[in-house]
Amino acid sequence: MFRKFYWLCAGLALLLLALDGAAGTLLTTTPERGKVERDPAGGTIRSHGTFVWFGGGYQGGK
Amino acid sequence: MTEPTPKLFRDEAKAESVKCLACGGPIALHTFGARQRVVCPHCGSTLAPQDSGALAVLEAAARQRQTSALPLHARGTLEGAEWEIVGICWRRCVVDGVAYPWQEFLLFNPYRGFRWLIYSISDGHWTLGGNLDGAPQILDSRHHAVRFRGRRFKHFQGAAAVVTYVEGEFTWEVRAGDKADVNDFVDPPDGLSIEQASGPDGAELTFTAQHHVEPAAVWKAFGQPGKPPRSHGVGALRPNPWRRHRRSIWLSLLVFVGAWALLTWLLANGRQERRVFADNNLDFADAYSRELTIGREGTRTAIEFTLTAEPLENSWAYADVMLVNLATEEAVGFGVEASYYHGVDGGESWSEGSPRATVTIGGVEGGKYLLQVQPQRDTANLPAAGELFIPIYPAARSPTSYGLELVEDVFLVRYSALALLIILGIPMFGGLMGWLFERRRWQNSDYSGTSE
Amino acid sequence: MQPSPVHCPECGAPAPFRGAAVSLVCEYCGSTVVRTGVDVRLIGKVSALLDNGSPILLASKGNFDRVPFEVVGRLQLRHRRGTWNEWFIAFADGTIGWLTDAQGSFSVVRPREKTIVAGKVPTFGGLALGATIVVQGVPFVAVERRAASYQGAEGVLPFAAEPGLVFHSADLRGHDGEFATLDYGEDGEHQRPTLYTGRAVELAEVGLQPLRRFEGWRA
Repeated sequence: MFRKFYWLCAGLALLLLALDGAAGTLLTTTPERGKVERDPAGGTIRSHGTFVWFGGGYQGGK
Repeated sequence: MTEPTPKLFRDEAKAESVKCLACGGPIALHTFGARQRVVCPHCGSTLAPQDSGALAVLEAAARQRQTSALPLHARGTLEGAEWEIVGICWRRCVVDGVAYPWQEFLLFNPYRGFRWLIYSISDGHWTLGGNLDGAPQILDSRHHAVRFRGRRFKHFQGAAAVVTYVEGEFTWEVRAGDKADVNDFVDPPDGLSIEQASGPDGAELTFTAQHHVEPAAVWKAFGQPGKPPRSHGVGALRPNPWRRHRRSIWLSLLVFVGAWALLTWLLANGRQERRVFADNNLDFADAYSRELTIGREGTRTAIEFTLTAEPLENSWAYADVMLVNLATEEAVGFGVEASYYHGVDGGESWSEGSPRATVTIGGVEGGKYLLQVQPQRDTANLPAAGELFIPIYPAARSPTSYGLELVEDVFLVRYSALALLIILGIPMFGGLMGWLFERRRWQNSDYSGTSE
Repeated sequence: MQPSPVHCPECGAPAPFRGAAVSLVCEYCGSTVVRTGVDVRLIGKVSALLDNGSPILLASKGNFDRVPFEVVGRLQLRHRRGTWNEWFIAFADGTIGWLTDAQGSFSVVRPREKTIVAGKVPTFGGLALGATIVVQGVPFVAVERRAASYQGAEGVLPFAAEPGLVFHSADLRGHDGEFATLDYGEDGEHQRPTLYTGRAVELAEVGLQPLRRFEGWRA
């Protein structure tokens, strides 16, 4: 039982290393992703509400 | 029993029932002539068979009500054969003032002889024993180990065993008070016991081969209702479940490490880490925008985005970053904060953070991107125009400019580290658990290290 | 093995002596008959065989190390702790051996050349239990020593089986399951016992058939 558990975990970890090690999809921070709308003036408008919050909410300091 | 002619052996041997000469109660005899002693279950008298076949009373005794884990004459199937309990012997030893009692059930099968089922009353462990077909070789003059059939058995405990009570039929002249020196040696799940008793002919040596039995297996074998008595601790002969596949686990570890080394090497060398762009001396007043190409079409890559702010002392800077894929119009948004604080606290200096902050983003699709950065900063300690900077305590300086850098196809240590952690960590965990198991096993031995 | 055409002097039934057999217990009248050369001597009904629960039957057959054998005789011995049986077995290849049957423990031993141990082992009286004795380079531990007396017999035996015989023997056990017996015979004060070597067996292993039947048990 323990042996099978070990082989499964080690196998999965090596598989993860082999398949996703270069792209890094699974083990990295998940940034905000989403579609955007284009501002006719050339800038970019963030379409998702959280983006706006994300951008303006940091007032600094610890 | 009259003298039988050889022809009588052709008939089926019958179990007998005789009357106890001491109390007149019926005694069932199930050993078909192999017995040397019988203890009457009603009055407790010890009887011995005479040549005539009758049982003469050796010792009248008051029967004690002793509880037994298994009843006399119960039958069970163990190790592929059926056995009947024909005799029960209660024994105990005293170690450091504590009495450890146990029961020995004499199992009988007319075609296979006798075995012993040993039940330790104090900790609920069971052992099956039989005659050793040979003699062990004492390895150490201090009796710390013996060898038999090429296997090494370590000394587990030695004690003086005394018979306290008996019931049923026995193949030797047993009586309450019989003493023997018993030494147990273990090589789980097997064990070896050497017993020395002084008899009329001098020292009597008995070698017993032992094997671990699970309480549940005994209960099932003898068809006993409910659950077997609870066991505590680890039995002397119980196999270590953490060491069951020890060799194949450590062998597979070597294979896994080899595969890990290969994959890590391929990952490290198969990449093309490239700095996509770097820009310095940027003004906090303006937003930053730029088009760039990340990775290759059709593949995903991991990038590192770095914000550097200077000067930075007890201050912070922040960048709100968005990467918009020009083809799909999907954006990746994140923030990077660079902060650096330091000081002296009660004579010890400390520091926290760095003027250079990096964020790693993975799974970025290859293609053309528009980078947009909104910078922010702590404005509390900006130098006034024209002023000389005069350091005050604690020194604090807010950043006046910042730099950005984006590197693609970076080497992510975490994948390799995680895999190695699992590959090495799980067997090490198993090794630790195995070691703890053995420690618990040896707690009950003469070598527990405690004055137990 | 051709049985020789001898008859029991007591009852006239056929007394099938075979091979190395010296004595025979008549199946019909229970008398012990001893053959010396061509002469046949009646000893009388001296066999007092006890039923000590043995599952082995006379005339049963089995095989040991792939050599078939037949159980042709039984010697029952008594010592302080009770009785046990030594079954005399005749192998298909003409050799003989002994199947020891004591309280459900069975072993098969074969005789070896006397010169192997002559002078190299203690006398019966000088043998200490637990001591190591080396036989042909193999260390053995002396585990038991007995002076046993004749109790009874059936079938044929390779010596005159009669009351008054005392058998001095010692059991040796090796560290790899080797069994050996030193047979000092009637007198224990010499250093030239007969050596027998072999090993422990289970009845199922030697495939002994038929076996004695016991009430309430299946073979």
